[in-house]
Amino acid sequence: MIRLPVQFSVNLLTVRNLNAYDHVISNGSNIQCVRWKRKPIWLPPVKSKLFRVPKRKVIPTEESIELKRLHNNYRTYMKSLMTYFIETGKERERCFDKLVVEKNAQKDFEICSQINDEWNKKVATMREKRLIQEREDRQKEILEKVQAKKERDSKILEKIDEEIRKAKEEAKTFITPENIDKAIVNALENITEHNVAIDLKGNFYKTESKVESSNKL
Amino acid sequence: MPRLPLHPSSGTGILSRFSKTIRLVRYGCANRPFYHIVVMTTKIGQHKPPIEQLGSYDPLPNKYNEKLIAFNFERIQYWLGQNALVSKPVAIMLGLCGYFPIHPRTYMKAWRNRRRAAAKAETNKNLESEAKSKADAMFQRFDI
Repeated sequence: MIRLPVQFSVNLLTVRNLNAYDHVISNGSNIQCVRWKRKPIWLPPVKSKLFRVPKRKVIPTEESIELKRLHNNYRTYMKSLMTYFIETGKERERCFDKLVVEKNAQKDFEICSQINDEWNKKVATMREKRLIQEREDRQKEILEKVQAKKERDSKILEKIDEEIRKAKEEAKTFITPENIDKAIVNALENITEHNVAIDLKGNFYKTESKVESSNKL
Repeated sequence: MPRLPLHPSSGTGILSRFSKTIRLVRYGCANRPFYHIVVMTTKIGQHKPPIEQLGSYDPLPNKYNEKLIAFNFERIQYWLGQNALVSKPVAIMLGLCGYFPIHPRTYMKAWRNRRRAAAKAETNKNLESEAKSKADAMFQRFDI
């Protein structure tokens, strides 16, 4: 063993107590570590505890019998529980097997597609009905529209006819190159005066003197 | 020495072919225990990487005097289905949760506590009666 001169340094203290320096015997008189009190497992029993025989705990017989009974019950329960868990685990594994999953998916898809087909059929019949109804409605609408157009056209024609008739009636009074001289003479003979004054109450005032003057001119 | 786990405490998910155990791992510090409930290979040390964390356990009662424990029962069922063993404290806890049958140790603890409480009550009674008799004796002595 190596004997070192005593060093009262913290470093050595701590390291020694970590048992890195177990082979080092330091003669430091009052070295005592508080931090790591435990004896490391690889050291032999301390001298003071070398011949110590630990006391055995005494369990009363009643208690021990009761405990035994309880433990037996517990073990049987646990055995059954564990087998149950293992079985469920296996079952789950079987459920999540690739083939089974695919098969289930296929089954599910078939059921779904069947439901979908039924639905489609129902919707198709409904749609046909609706389309027929719509076609009928459209035809009716078109017929109505055609009828309305005819009525409108006839009305317009009547209107035009009337206008033409009026125009024909008025055509007799038109001024044409043949009777223009006559019309001019007529106009010169019967002069109408349009210069008129009006007050706020709407009374007309005609000044005859001016007319006279104009006539003179 | 600080323990530095360099693995996720929620578990690495790395499986081995050896038997597994559901057990507690102490993730606390000095004077403050805190436990994770994990699935680990049975023979490796407690601070080695676990396969999966299944819950947590706080043994110090909180301000409502509750000790909180959390379990992921789905995963526990899965691991029990995979032949995982259960350590005794975890089995006791699961028994108290109602997932397992109640462990005999729980019963034992209960009856021992009851017995202790009864004994304490009796001693208190005896002490009181003794004190009373002493006081009476004193009164008699001084003729009060």
